[in-house]
Amino acid sequence: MGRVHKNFKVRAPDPRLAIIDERLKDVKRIFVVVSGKGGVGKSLIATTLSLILTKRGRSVGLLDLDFHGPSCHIILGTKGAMPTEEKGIIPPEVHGIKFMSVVYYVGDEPLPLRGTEISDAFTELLAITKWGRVDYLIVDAPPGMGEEVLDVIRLMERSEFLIVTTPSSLALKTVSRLTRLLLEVRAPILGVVENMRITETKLVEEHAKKFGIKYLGPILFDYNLEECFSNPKKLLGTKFARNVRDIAKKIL
Amino acid sequence: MHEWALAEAVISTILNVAKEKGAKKIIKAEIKIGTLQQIEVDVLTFAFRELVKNTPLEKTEIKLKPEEVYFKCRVCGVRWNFSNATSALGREKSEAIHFIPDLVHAFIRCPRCGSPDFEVVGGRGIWVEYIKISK
Ligand SMILES: Nc1ncnc2c1ncn2[C@@H]1O[C@H](COP(=O)(O)OP(=O)(O)O)[C@@H](O)[C@H]1O
Ligand SMILES: [Mg+2]
Ligand SMILES: [Zn+2]
Repeated sequence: MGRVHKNFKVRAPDPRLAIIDERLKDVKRIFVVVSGKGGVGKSLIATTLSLILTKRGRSVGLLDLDFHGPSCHIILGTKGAMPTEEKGIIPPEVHGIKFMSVVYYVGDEPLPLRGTEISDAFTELLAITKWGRVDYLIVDAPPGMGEEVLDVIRLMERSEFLIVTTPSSLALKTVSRLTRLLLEVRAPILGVVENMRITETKLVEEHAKKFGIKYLGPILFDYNLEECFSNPKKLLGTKFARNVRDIAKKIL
Repeated sequence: MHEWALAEAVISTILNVAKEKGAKKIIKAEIKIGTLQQIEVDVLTFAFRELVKNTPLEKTEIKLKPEEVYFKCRVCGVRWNFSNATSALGREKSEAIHFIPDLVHAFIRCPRCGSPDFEVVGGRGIWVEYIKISK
């Protein structure tokens, strides 16, 4: 019997997918700040949490995933920082945080992307960004449950989700949908934060109970936040930051 | 040198697929390089040569083939090509597209109707067209 040598042509998947786990391998934990709803404080919480963890001596990465409305750079104040190129892209350290955003590249230009294009941009970003050794990678998600959230679930499997809402039934309706989605795909949920509390209500606590997730406590409405943007020291001195610190204690 | 990161991704994919298919030998891999990203082929080639050392890809023929990109307006339907559109972009914007090709949407508009809503057809990024293995 002669031996049969056979050659086969085979297809290969998107090469970027093969390298993402490698890029994230020295990232210990990934926290994704989500809501479903916009304007509830995701960016402010993600950025403040990053600053708090950095202050405690942890190495922190912050990824602004809101391609249509990036905000973390405004809260942080990035002043001319730019990623460097070294067999990939290395995020610059901004106030001690390894910070990555499309803002470095598009500035204030609108970035009108459709769903598949967002997914492509995100995949590319994950494939080329070299976070290195990081204790916490904080991801600031956009509103909605489109590409970004679905891709986080698909591409960053170790993600743990921090859900943000305001104590309003309007926000909670949308937040409930997102909570259901996360539970359905068995994504780990750190808990739900009640942001911008003005008067006391039990709405968010009840939401948490209903879904069997942790209520992480309130962040009070703070009138002085606007003047703290681009000034981390001042931001860390606010009541807002104090509330975020209490929340940090419960999720670490 | 971000070409290096792309080369790493390509190599990992080829190795994964070869393993999955139970390949004895990886004879050839054809890599498509979309023109949108303006990848430096010399740098990429160098990265491949370094990265395949001491891997099952050491003797594999790695063929790089460019793939032309063009744009198609979703509003008025016009098609146009990339080199005309981007020659005037300047270094910073070209670099942005080089890193994340989709950022082209921040910088280019349809030449006929001015819409930012266009499709990138053909050569967006870098991908493995096929690999040839023996079992
Ligand atoms: N606890 C708070 N007190 C007062 N204003 C807040 C509070 N949290 C967020 N904000 C403000 O609400 C607005 C939306 O916050 P942002 O973080 O951009 O929300 P999101 O990222 O969810 O869209 C910002 O102007 C922010 O300063
Ligand atoms: Mg935001
Ligand atoms: Zn047009």
